[in-house]
Amino acid sequence: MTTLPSRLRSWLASVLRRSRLEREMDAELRFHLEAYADDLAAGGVQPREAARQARLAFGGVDRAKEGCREAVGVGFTDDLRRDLRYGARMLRKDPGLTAVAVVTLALGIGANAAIFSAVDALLLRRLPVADPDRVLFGITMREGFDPFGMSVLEFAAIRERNHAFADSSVGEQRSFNLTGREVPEPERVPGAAIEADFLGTLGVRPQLGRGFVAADDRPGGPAVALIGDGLWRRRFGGDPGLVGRTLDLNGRSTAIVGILPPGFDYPNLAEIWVPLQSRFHGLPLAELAAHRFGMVARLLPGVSMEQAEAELQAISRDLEREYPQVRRGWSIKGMPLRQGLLWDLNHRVERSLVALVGAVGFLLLICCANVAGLLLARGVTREREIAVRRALGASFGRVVRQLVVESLLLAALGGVAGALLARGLLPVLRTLNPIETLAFAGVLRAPQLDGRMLAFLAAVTMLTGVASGLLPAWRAAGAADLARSIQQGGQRSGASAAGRRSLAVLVVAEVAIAAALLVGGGLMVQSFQRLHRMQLGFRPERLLLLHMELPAGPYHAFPRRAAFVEQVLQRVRQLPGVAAAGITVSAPQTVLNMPDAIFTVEGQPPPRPGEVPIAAHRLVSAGYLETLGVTLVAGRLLGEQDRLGSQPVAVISEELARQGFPGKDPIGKRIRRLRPGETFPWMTVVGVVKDVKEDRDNFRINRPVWYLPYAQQVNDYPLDLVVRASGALGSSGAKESAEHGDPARLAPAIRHAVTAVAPAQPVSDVTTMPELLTRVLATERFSAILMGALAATGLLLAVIGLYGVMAYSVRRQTGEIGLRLALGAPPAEIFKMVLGRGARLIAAGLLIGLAGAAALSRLLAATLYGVAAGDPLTFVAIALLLAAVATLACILPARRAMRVDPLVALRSE
Amino acid sequence: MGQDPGTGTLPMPEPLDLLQGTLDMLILKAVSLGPLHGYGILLRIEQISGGRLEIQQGSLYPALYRLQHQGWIASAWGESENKRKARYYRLTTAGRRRLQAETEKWHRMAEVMAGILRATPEEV
Repeated sequence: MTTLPSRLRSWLASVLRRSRLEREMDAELRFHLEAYADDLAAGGVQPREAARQARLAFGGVDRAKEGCREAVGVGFTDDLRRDLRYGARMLRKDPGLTAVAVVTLALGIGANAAIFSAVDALLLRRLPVADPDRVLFGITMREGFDPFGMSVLEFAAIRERNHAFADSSVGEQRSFNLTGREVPEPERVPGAAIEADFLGTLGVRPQLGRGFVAADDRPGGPAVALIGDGLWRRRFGGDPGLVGRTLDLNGRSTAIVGILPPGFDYPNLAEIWVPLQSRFHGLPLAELAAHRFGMVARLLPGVSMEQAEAELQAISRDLEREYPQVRRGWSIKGMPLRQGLLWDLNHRVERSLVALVGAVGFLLLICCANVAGLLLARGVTREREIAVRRALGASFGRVVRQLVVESLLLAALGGVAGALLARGLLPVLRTLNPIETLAFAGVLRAPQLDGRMLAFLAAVTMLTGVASGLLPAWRAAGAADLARSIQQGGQRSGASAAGRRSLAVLVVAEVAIAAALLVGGGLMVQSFQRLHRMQLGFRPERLLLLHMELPAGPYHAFPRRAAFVEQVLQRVRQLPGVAAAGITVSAPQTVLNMPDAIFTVEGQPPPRPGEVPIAAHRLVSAGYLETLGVTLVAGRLLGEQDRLGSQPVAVISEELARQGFPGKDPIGKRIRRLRPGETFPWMTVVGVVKDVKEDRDNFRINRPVWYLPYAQQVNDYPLDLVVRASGALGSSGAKESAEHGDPARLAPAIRHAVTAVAPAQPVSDVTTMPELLTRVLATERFSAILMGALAATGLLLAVIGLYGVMAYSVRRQTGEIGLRLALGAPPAEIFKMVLGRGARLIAAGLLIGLAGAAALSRLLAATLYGVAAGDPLTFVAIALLLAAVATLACILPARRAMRVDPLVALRSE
Repeated sequence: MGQDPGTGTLPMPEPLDLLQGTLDMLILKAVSLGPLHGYGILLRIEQISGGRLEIQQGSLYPALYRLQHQGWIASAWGESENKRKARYYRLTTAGRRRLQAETEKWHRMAEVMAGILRATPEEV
């Protein structure tokens, strides 16, 4: 039977009501003594004598009390309290050291807490679905292309043939023009069309009303919708009466049947959901193969993600055999939901985050080493005090405990300051956080100072306190020769061997960690720079992008769309401040719509199975390519003459020319689109342009692209309006007027122009191209900045620490140095000796650090662009930098050593 | 030099383990016969041992506190015979069980010891 509960209760009661414990103990023992004295007096002894005898017989009252305290367990807390008070007094006596140590620790702890919080939000915190680790996110991939959604073909096969999923469901991205009386101004709201059991697969239930049922989801079913919590509160004031009312969605009167819980906006930041109402059978093959859907699936209990993935790949291979015309080169990929949300297909985001956590951890280690160095130095000045305590009977463990409590106190102060620092850093991190998420930004992108972070802070603080304090405590408590210390006072000449070793370890450790940090930072910074300078193929400055989706109803007939395009362009081009304008179905680096086409070249044999000649399919207005600022390599760009009825033409990219017409001149040759069940006319190639980076995820390669005249291709794609603002570059080279240069200022006028052509046509996703590019490279920029900052800070701290340790070491050796000088050694020799020792330690640290960095940088390899993980130039440069800086840090103490006055040094012996 | 902050008090002489265990049992037994204050427990032990056992007064109270800490006895303040406030200890249910278990163990141990000590060279 365990006594633990009773002991805990008793201990707690004693600690909390300490004074009562003491009083009662007092009273009890007093009663005992009085009772005994009474008995003695009853036997004839004088009262005063009886009292005295009673006390004698009892023995030490204080000792008994101490025994009682030990028995109840407050002895430990007593000691702790004493240690804390003593430690606090010691820290107050040396405010300089305390301040430096606290600031150093605050830096390390704060940075760690902030980064932890951000990474926690992205990688660990719960998502608003049931059991998110068991939800699989499905996409399809094609060699060399951005990933795609799921097609009906694949999904139907998965549904029928899988053994891994309890549930699977699809949804499609949609957007809705929210209009009508309820809404003051037409708003385009992102949303989705989902199957009836989509929410069920995710384990999400509406907070009001109901979800979709099978009856809602049949083709030709009712016009119903679900609203998200954000939209509900924002537009409708959280009015529960919204359930049951109707809204105008895309011109259709739709009944709202439910409100979804807060924080749920899957897929793709959806705020409105409608039933998919799609048939999965009897569709033409082209539709079946269209990759429109996002798939989620819930794993059966006991099935692992890897097993599910393997099964998906097997199904994919089967499909390739069964439908070669549409399935060549495709594969299906499944991943955990969170990874999909971060769009982290290659684990790049995850790796960057892990690297970040590692780097900031290294920084903390350097901080600990610095503080340990400070404490080691101070430990020696306290040798006398500690020796006296040991002589009076304090055990080695006791002294170590007290010293560690002191460093824990330092760490606690650092922790509190660090928490404040972290709180200040969090908003910065939140705004800078480049990682875009497909959904659930409320969880993923919102690091908070919450319970988890505080728990992490507390743990890190404790570890820091122990890490930085244990070694110095050990050294100080075990100061070998007590007698000599007491007799001869504090500063000892001839640092003991063990003391020197500790210092050497610190130096080597700091240099090594700094080296690793610098390598990491250096690689990421270079990687980002290469990306930044990458050739885009167009001129991004002063470009403005606007997105429009023309609703299917009024724009069902293609001529209406073409007319819209013409009219809008005509008006926009006449606006002041507009240098050029064009329209495309997908601007470069945007991800809202990315159509592709399989192509074939006239006169060439049909592509072999396994070869998938695919081009990015871009339908553009005349003047678009000029607006974008592409470079024409041969032939001409599209013009007004390319309209419906005239010869079908195409302008292709260099990569397409290379793939389709290797070694030949493509101008004048013919090319056309292939799509099963459809025949497209041959198009004549009239121009070749330099490759444009249309893709966002695959910026490492150039994809084939063709630009076809919008007017010649019947389609219902959404539109991206691209406008270049005119820049006022005065002939005298005067500065650009901000008004002319900034394309964002044109946005209201452009919206107005659009509304003039089509009232109630929402315009959305307005951004400038430079802004968009910043977002595209945001993760890399962020990593580079952060890693760079961490590396620089680490270097600074390490150098400071190094200087401190070397200076201290020299001070300790003053006596020995004085002796040498007195015996005739030339000062230069002293200088060389000190510097030499420092240099050896630095070299050792560099070796270890760079070796470690080489091993660790391999983990970064996937995230780097244009620079290898083992880039020798980087390593050499950093080795030189660190060696130079570290040596400089040693020079000052070495010079001071040189200048020691032998008389003074020996006298203080 | 004032109070030495780092070492607490001077170290106490270590009580013999056997003695500590025995004292515990004696206390539990004494209290099992009826609630008593500390002094009363002392008297009762001396009484039921026929005066053959004398308890070190200094070690009584730490033992009492320890036993209460572990939950074998519980205490409450009350009035003594001469109207003074005193803390009275009584046996808890758990304590009663413990006393029984320890008594059995003691008897078994005594038998075993007796058997060993009786052994003659021939029996071995």
